[in-house]
Amino acid sequence: MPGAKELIEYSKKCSLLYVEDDERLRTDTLRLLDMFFNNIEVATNGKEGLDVFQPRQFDIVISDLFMPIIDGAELSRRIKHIDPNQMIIILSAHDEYEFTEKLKKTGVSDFIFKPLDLQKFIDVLFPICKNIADNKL
Amino acid sequence: MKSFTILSIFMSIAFVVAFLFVGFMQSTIIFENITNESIHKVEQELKKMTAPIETSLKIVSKLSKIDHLKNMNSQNINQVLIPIFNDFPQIVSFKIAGEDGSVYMLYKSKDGWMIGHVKSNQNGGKALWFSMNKDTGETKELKSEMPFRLGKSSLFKKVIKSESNQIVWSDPRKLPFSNTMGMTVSLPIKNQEGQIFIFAFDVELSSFSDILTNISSLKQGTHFLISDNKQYVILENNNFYNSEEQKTLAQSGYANWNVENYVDYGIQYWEENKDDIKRAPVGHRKKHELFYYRYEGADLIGNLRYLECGSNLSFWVGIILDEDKNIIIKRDMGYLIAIPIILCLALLIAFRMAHSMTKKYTIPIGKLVERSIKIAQMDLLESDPIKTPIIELQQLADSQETMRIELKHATEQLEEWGNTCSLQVIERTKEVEAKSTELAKLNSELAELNKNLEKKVTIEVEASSRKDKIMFQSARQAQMGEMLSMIAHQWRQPLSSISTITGSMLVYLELGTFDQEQFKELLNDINNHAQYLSGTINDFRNFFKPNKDKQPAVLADVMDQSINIIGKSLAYKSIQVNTDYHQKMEILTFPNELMQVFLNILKNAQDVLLERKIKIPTINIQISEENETQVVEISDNAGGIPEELLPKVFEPYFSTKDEKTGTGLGLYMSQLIIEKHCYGNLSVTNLEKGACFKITMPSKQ
Repeated sequence: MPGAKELIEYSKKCSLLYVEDDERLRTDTLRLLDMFFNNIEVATNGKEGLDVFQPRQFDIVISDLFMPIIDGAELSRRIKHIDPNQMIIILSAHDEYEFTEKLKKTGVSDFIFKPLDLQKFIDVLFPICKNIADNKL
Repeated sequence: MKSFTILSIFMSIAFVVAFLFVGFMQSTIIFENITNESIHKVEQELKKMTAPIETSLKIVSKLSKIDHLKNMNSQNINQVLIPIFNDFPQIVSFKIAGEDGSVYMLYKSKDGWMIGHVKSNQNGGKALWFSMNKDTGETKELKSEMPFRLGKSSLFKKVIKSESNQIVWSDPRKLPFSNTMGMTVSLPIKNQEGQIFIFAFDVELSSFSDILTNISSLKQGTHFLISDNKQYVILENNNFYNSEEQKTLAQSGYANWNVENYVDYGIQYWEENKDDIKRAPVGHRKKHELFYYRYEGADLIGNLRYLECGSNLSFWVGIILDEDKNIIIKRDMGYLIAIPIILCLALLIAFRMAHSMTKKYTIPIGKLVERSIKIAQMDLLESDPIKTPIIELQQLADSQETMRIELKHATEQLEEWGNTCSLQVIERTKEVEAKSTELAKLNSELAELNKNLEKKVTIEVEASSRKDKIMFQSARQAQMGEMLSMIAHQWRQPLSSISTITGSMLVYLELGTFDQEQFKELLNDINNHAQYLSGTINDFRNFFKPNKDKQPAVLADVMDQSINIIGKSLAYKSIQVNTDYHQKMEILTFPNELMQVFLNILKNAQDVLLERKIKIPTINIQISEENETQVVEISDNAGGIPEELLPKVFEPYFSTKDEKTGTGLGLYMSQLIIEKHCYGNLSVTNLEKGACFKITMPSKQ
């Protein structure tokens, strides 16, 4: 089972775009993400996320699902349109099977459910970050 | 009768006016006929004259030797000229003019002849004149010497230039030594030596003026002659003037300028039309023209006619009439007036006849009318029979009599029926009375039943209120379900925060990078989140704990608490909530029940905004005070409630949602709460963008 140390080994080599509209949650989550990633861009909603994404590429996009104007689902659909190989992880409170399956069809790579469980968080990110880091070597 | 007379008078006037108009038309036709006729006569006369005069002139020029004539002795005059003078009384003089300017002239005079001889050259000279007695032939020299300048005569020049042996007619002019109008007919002859001599007669045109002036109706008119080179002679009131004289007279004030103007018109007409007239093939030539014009207030009528009289003589004759056309009208007035008079008479006769006919008809008709009125008034007694020779009227009278008799029979029968009917009515009345007593019995029974019914109703109402309670309970349960969903949304973010903070702390621990201050801070954060969670739980708990008494509360605070509960749910659905509070005064109310109402309305707005997939879903909340009334308006931009559903939304069990999500009691209960508990009013209207729920409550209760 990979721990935080193992994840950091790979994740520090990855760039990240984090999209979350709730300020408090964004601050709290960013504190956690900062320990794993060196290169983080933050967007406060889907539209901003798209604006940040378009000029440059990120290894991973982590986005909240429910946001005003452009939500996480729409954001991932548009990002996939720009780069079909983009890694996208959705933070969601919905853990229904149908819902996640539907989102996976739009190109979402994986889900991290709220409230966040650290081990599950590491489990989702570890293979993705490892893969990216390996490819970079 | 009066109207009849007036009508006949009017008709007569109309006829007279009509006939006068027709009469005017008629008068022009009469004018045209008369003038044409007289001009035709003139033409005939001239035609008779011109050819023989021409022949005579030619004969004279051949027979007589110039030398003989030069002498003008009685033999010559008697043998050659006098027969011609006798045959043509129009001829008044004979002349021979030589190229050298010498002229020999013979004029008719009262006593006999006047002979003149001009020896002079082309520059003119003095004429020697002799008188000759027509019977004795004795000549006498006249002392007076008149200047004579043939060379300057336009006629002379014209004739000299013209072809030999070709007759030339002068313009109409006033003839010398007589006060008559005439023309000179000339014939230039070349002798063996090549010298040209002109033989000429002066011909009176008295016949022309005689013919025209002898026609009474034309006597007052103006007649004129216009030659082809526009020289003219005017005859008026038995006087005549030629072009030259007219001008001289005009200068001395004698001339009738009107006349000249008429003639000018004639000339102008001739000028304008002569080409057309001459170009037209012979036989189709327009030989006369009728013209009308208005000159100095007078209506003038003219007839202009082209005469071709043979032997190169042609000219225009014009007759102009102004006031004198009245003469024609007067002459024709006889029958013009006679016709309307005859018509009037005819009308009067017709009237008389009609009158007598009317008498014949009116008396029996009057009787018929009288009897009709009587019959109409049901006076059916027999009266004198009407006798009339007019079959139709007699038939009418007879049928009226039959009608009267039939009517009389009918009335009698009716009376009989009436009597029998009244008996029947009495029987029926008795029956009805019996029925009404029955009815009274039934009524009392009904009253008893009513009493029972009231009891039944009370029981039913009680049952119904029980039902209401059940209904309220079920509505509350539904709302609790909704509340749970709201709590879930409300708690998710703080719980997520707590879990991420703990996650972070775990990572710090694992990495060994923690310090006490940082952990204190993070734990503090967790505590804050826990406090928030506790606060929301309190909100919900308060919501489910009904207020027994009114409590002081600010509506804006109640609304904020409601938003605290539902806000996250709305935020998740990207629904924007705008609040606008103008009023933060405390009022006594039931805050928890009000919150229930607010939440219900907000939840409905959320549902409809999602259902209709509104692009930028928005809810606007406004709280204000108007005239000591609290006003809460909650509006959305979902497009509004269909008009036909507006009156139904507050009815119980009315829902546009499926059974899972809607009980159909939310708004019904909301209205009950506002109206029964808060003594306010809850209504809904459609605004431009969507529905607006308006809650009004008195500020002081």
